[in-house]
Amino acid sequence: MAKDYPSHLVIIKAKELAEALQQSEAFKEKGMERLRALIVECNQIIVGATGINYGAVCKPKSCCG
Amino acid sequence: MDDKEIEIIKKKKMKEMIDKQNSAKTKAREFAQAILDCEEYKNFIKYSDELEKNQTAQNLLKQSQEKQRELQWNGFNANTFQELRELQMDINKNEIIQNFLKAQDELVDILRRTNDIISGKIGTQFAFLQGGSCCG
Repeated sequence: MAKDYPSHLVIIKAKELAEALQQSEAFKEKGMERLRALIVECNQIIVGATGINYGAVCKPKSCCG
Repeated sequence: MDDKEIEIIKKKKMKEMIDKQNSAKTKAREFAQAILDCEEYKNFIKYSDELEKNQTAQNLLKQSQEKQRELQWNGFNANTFQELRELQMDINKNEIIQNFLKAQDELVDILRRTNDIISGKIGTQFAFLQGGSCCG
């Protein structure tokens, strides 16, 4: 269905990003500090490009009830 | 292996490391572009604009917030509660507000799904909230 395609692409791109993060030295080194820094940079790219506060939108359900 | 060769290997490793980090950032840019292109995002922007421009819808939301604040600050009052219920019914009937809320839910749903996918793969929370908590 044409309607589903763009959403499907978002999921594909999310998987590709996850794989790229897994391939990063920061992830392989198991160094949380460097991985966290890379995650922050990726989040900033997403927020900067879309204007969506990705962190707030995707906050864990346990946070603030 | 002399010092020069060691230096070359070090530089090569450093370049590989930077390339992989850049790859994640490139993929983050592609992911952001996919969000911008998806129907959920376009609908959200469209209905946000409509809501922003519609005075009736704006007034309903403003009045509802004021009534909720009144109840929180002044304690329960049957009249205020009834007014709030009536406002809520008007909000439920307002097509512009409902379109916006539906679009917002759909966008949030897909973004949460992406965060679940990425967080699951890397074993830590991907969505980063400035300040470390959503509470402040």
